[in-house]
Amino acid sequence: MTDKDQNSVPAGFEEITIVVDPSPEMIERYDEWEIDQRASFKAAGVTILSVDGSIFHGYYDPDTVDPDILPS
Amino acid sequence: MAYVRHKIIKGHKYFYLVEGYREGAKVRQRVLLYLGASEPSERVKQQLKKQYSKPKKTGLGDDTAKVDAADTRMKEGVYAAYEYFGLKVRHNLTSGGTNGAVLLRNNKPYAVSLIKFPNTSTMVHELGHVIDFILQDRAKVVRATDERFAHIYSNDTKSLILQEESAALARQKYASGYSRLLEISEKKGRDGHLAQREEETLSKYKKFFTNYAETQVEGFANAFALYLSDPDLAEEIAPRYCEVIFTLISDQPDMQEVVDSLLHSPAF
Repeated sequence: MTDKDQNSVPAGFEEITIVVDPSPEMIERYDEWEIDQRASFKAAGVTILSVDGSIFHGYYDPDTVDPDILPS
Repeated sequence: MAYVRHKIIKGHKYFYLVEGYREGAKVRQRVLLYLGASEPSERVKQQLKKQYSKPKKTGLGDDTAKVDAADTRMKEGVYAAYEYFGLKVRHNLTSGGTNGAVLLRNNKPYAVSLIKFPNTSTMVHELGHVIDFILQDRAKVVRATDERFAHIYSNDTKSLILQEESAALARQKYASGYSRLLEISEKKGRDGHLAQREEETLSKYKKFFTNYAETQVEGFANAFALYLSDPDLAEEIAPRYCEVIFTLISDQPDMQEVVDSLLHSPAF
């Protein structure tokens, strides 16, 4: 994670990093899997700042998002 | 029973994992995996045979029972390790395609997400990620005590250090996918072109390996998980990862205790 990423988290928001492991079958549709992950995080209220392989880094509003339900 | 054999095509040797099967009175052979143009080492051959051979029937079913019991003990050990590190464990992954996830706040793991019935190797793999990130969080202590290994936690994620071993671990873990990738790549090399569908498959497989399976963060978790199931193979294909991981862990007495308890569980 870079300093730039850290600084991109707006004040009042919580930073979150999620390391996600696709199932082996996703070898057949890795592109779609990555897009699905982004969509799933967005739907849960997480803004993704960067993706580095299996590491998704972003932030969420703690007043509206329960981190205990992530990822879903 | 699976075994490795080679074929000679246009003067070149190509290696395959094959198994024999009976069809009426005849014994035939089917290819399980294409292994490429280089002969795998004896250790890798043994691992592939073990991985792809069906368990022997004892008539009593006791081998299966022993394997199940060992698997259950390892799972209990991993759940205990999650708890020891203060992680919430949720079986909340329901959408297809994702087996496990580790969540971090301020670079510290706080939860593990799994599917409802995860297999043991996934659980150990996620524990590998957890240990990686806890070690990173404590890295300033580790770096101060052993500068040789500081490089593994470089912020430069594009670093080529350990890349070769990360790739070897990924190829071992996803052997059938890598076999297919090799097969299509070599076909392209031979024929100079591919049908559109094969070209797309090649591109997807390459992306899976390059963007995900062969990255260093996955290399760490893969090396950790392989070490717990087959230490000899792990040391053969990823000696530097094993040295780094277990030297770093040995500097953390609490972590060493957790890992020791898992190492003394029967192999899963």
